[in-house]
Amino acid sequence: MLNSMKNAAIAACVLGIAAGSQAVAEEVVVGGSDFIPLVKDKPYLHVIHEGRSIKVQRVQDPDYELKGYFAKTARKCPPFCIQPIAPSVDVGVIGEVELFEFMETELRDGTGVLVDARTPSWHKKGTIPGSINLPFTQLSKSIDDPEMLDALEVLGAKERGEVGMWDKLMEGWGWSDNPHLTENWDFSQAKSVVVWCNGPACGQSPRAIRGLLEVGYPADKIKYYRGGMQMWQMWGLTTVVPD
Amino acid sequence: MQPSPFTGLTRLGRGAWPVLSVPPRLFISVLALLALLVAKPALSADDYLSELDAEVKKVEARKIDGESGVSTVEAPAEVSGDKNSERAGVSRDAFEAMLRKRYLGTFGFYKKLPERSRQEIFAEYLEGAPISEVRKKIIDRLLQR
Repeated sequence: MLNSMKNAAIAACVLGIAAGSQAVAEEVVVGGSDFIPLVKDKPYLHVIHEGRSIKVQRVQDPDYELKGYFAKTARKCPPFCIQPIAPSVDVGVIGEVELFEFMETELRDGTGVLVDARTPSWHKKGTIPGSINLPFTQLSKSIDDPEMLDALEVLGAKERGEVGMWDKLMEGWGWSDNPHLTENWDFSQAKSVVVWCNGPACGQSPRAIRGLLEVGYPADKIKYYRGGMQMWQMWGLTTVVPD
Repeated sequence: MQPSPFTGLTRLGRGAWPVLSVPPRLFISVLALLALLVAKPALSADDYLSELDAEVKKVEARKIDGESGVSTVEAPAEVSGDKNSERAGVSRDAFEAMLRKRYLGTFGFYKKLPERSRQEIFAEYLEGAPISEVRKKIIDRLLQR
């Protein structure tokens, strides 16, 4: 009798576990009621990273908890102090939803660049899909430094050739209809850049942004993803480990 | 004559406020030294980089069970092939040395590319593509194009 009760209990447990597994399996079905999309009506998106399409989605495990470095609340300060909301009043700050939109529009059509402004050793630990690594050390160089020149080329800025006297005069009086010209650089075709680093306590992307502003990169073409890797991982979003 | 009530102080002319008899430059230097001692030393760029290097060692690879939604994607594996292939007499090392010497920034981007892209670019260089095209290709690959 005891044995049969025991067997029945085991059978019930097995059935229960099986039912539970099925429920978990159903959870990850895209469009299922328990599926966690990126945002409402957008289960995931794809970006190109190192020549292949990467699916960006959220972790579907309901019990998943963030662990490790990016789960830590304490950071040595300085240098890893909480950053202001924006590195400059002229630069827009975005969150994940805006970043998803950027990935599906400007990044996809080549008019935007997603910049991982961290040093290469950080980048190699994992990055946000679609990012390129332009470290803040490079973006803080002066305008005549070869590294900065190449970074500007990557970002679509063009060096101006000989500027006519009339144009100079008009620009000097503020009568130019192109707000993206500096004395030697034309930023009118410069790409929209979203710059990010490790999160709200990271100073690398703010430094990169200040470096870009310093050389005349238009503030309206720069966005700061302040959440960075910390918030990206907090939402359980896909990361890639570079080659 | 009455001794001055301002011991250690002197007067500068008639009706002037008493001032320290210490020479002003020395006084300012002492003040600056005190300020330096009291203030926390600001981090130099090198210090910041050292701190960043130390911090990155604390980051571990992110591993999440594939069944619950793969969250870390390994980058594609290297394309197999002879890394030291030599054609037209130019080695890849020589190509990279040239790039480093003449286009340091571009070389920096080139080094960031996955091995298969570097191979592709080197092959294009060997086929006679002008350096402007090679540099454009490096940037294109960097921009995921």
